Amino acid sequence: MSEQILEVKDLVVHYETEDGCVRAVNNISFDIGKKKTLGLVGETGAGKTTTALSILNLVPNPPGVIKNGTILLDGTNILELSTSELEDVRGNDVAMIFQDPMTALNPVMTVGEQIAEAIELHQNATKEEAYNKAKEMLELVGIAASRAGDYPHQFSGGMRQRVVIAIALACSPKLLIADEPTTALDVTIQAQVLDLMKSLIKNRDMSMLLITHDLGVVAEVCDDVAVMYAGHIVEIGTADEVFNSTAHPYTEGLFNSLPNLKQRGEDLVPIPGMMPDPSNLPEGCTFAPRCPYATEACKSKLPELRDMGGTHKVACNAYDNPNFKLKGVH
Amino acid sequence: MSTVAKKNQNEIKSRSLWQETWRRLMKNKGAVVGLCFLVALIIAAIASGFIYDYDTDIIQIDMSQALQHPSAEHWFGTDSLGRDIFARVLYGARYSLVIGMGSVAIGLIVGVTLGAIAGFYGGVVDQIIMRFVDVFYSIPNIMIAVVIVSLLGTSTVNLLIALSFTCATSFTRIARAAVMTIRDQEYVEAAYALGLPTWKLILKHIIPNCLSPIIVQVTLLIGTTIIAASSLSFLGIGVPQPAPEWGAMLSEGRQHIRDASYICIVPGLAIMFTVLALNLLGDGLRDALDPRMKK
Repeated sequence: MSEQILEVKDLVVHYETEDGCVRAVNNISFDIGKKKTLGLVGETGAGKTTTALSILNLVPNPPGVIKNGTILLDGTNILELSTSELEDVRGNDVAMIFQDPMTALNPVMTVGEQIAEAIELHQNATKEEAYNKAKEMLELVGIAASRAGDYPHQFSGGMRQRVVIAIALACSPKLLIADEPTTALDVTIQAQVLDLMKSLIKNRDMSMLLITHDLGVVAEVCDDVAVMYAGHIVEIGTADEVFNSTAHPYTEGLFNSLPNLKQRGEDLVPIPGMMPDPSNLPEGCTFAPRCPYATEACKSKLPELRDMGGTHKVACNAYDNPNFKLKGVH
Repeated sequence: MSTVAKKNQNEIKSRSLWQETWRRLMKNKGAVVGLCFLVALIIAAIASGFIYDYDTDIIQIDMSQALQHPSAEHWFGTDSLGRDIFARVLYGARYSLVIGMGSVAIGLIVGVTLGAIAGFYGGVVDQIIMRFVDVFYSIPNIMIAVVIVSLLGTSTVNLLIALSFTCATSFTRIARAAVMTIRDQEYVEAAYALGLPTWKLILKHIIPNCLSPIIVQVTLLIGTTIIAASSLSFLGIGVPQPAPEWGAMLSEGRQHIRDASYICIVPGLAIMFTVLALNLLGDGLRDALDPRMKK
């Protein structure tokens, strides 16, 4: 048995449309250890959700095509499974929490039925057993079991996200994929939901892939962090390594664009420019057009991940120069 | 004590979508009138089978009673062959309702299945199904029915089949459009991520969310189908004589429209009120099921 619950190797996902090929995910590799949480960070359009969907082999096809790569879930390659084998994996071994709790629940089914559905499907339970288990799950996420017969529109956003979490956890999956689980919630509810997820995951020995653009959430929840930019992983390592010895100019830019609570008057430093169009990526380093450290070489040479000590890896050409150092986070 | 109170409170709060729709429907006076009329008509149609004997009361010719004006004995008078019009109109409701509901039911099953497949899978499947539907749509309804009835022969069952074709095409269109909008909702993706097989996903998550336009179409289409069935019977290719179908009764009464106009008026009004009731109910349902109408 390997130590990793999930190993993604050389994953390439393209969306092939009539107007050209959108290179959403370009050759990324990462692992998630048992009971570990990996944070996948990046801007909108960086390929985070596509990566998550490929783990369930759910990339909409057409136009999405998984071009290359292996995704080993506890040793089995997801991409080689048949449809019915995949249906066994989905929801049972890997579950997903979607971004918007307002639209992720079926409006014409009671929440109890929706939680019971997963249990019935994967655990050979009768309708009644499944429904009772669903009530337990509701209690677990902090909603009274008596509300199992209510419809989604009768719940608030935060409570709906709890229901979504209850559905995802109903079959005790080995891996939970949370796609921006707190983005649609306001800050006070965010903290509640994150705490809930953290404790549930810990109690059930689960691993999690947390997709977010919120570095604060990552610092709070994750063991490891991968930073994505235009379909590439540009920096990966433990949360400590990435936060305390930031090595990639993009990650540095992300930190600089966060407000600093200690110096409230200070201006934010945004990253200039926009992310490149993924259907027309530059030849060299994708971040070069926006990078304050970019040299001529960056425009032609695609950087590869290099070791920075420990598990810390970074994809940046600047480190060809052994004396290179970032200016540091403000 | 407190738990009981709590339970009651929860029961008041959790009103299902159907209860909510019903409550809104009951606020619409037209829909209530339509619904009451239809319920009464259905009861009368069922009861007429027990009150009247088909051979002696409905179709037996008695020339001594021919063309009697409305009286205490014959409420709506008698036709040219001496048959009681009240009994015939009441009995005729069975034909209209059975044909209307039957062909809509067949059309519903076939049409929604085809529409759901076309809308869900899209691409080539969608193209093939929808082009067939387009072809059927481009031929006048009555024409399709005439062709089918003359191929299969005139009988009530064949008329029902003929009319269900038209129903199926319109259900296919409606179901396809509805499925296409629901297909891309996040909860459908979530259900996929849960490992639900595709057929279950369509049946449990997509179709229930498409029901409102389909339900409205059912009520409106029953009305249209009743008219179509009567028209065909009027033309002599629907329910064969001497069955008391409303359209056929109209056709028989035509020759006496000057001296005994009630022979035409009574079945005509029966058709009109039935279709009106169905349309009122359909309009009411459309408002009740439309979430934007929520107050």
